[in-house]
Amino acid sequence: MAVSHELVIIGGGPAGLTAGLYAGRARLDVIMLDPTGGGGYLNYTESIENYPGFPDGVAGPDLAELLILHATKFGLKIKTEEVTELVAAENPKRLKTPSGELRAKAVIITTGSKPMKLGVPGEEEYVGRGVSYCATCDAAFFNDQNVAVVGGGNAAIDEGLAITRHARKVFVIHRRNTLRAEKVLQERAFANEKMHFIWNTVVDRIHGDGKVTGLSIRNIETGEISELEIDGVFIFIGTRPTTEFLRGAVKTDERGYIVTGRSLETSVKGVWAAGDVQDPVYRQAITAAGQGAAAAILAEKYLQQMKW
Amino acid sequence: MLKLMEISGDAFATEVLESTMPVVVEFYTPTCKFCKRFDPIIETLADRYEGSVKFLRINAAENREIAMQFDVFGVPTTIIFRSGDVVDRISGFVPEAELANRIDAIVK
Repeated sequence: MAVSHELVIIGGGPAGLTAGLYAGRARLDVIMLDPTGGGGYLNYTESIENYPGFPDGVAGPDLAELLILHATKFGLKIKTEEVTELVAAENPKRLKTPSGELRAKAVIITTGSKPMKLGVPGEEEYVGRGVSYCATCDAAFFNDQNVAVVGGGNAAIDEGLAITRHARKVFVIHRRNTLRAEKVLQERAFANEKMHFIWNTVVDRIHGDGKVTGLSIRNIETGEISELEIDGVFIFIGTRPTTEFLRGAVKTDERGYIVTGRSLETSVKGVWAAGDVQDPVYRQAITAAGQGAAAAILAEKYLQQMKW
Repeated sequence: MLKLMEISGDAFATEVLESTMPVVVEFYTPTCKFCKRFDPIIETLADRYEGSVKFLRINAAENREIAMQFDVFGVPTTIIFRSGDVVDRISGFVPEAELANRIDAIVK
């Protein structure tokens, strides 16, 4: 017999945890399912300097811990489990997990996004052996070594700066000739003598002999191919929404983002989405948290009106 | 629930390489919150496989030589040893069922 809840939140980043906080305070019977136990993309983030209330910045994992503590204090239950399927069209809705099935009157999807992979030879092979998507986790392995960072957005530059505390040199490889990162981060990056920029360039291959030893890189303007000797490569080329498990249960756009209106409701009644999973534009911890709060308020109203 | 045993580099040879049981070693660093989230999964499996598989964790930041010896440059990395040999290696966080399958493939 499947366990029933009023509200199930799928995914535990800032959107899901804030939804959980609001739902807990509304005294809803709410549970969150997250394959890593919560925190989401915050767990990957070295420091967050634009979350209001933290003028000196806060480490992503520390903010995750605080959000988990805050939400569970008001009754949110978190289960470390992955949802493999959502049957949204039925009422109650059904959620399948490796250990069984849950039922829910309402669902909020906050599965966020995952780092994109380069998709080049050597990448899969050397994950954990010099290929990383998490500077907070792995930068300390590269003390006094040479490291490449691929990407030019906020994540690449912010994490690249964090890696300079350990590495001797950080080569930023970017396919354009300007950075997309916030100006304040660009200023810091250009002023940091450990940061070296390789513009208009992409990575073709990651080389190694048991661990990463170098990259084949290609200038996309000139076509020139060269080799860069490095000990590690951190990849921050963007994210893609985590929506594969939905398999059409709610409407997604061509890039995989869940389609929502202003009310954050998905194409299925009683199912909301908040945070990066439905947001290709803002993608901030604070906007995700705000959307999570809104979704929980709307879900609570829906549950009241449905008079189950 | 078993408390997961933490070892240092000095004990690695005796506890891991010379163990008569297969050993699952989780390499972690204190700054890696994913590793912390991985602990309950490892602890659950340590309970389930008690008597047939040994589970240990090692701080890869403090035990650099051991980490380098096994080319661990990312955490969490879980390495399964049998008779002193590496028989499987899992990079990153994996769900409980996946890790259990990988262990079963070695034990059975």
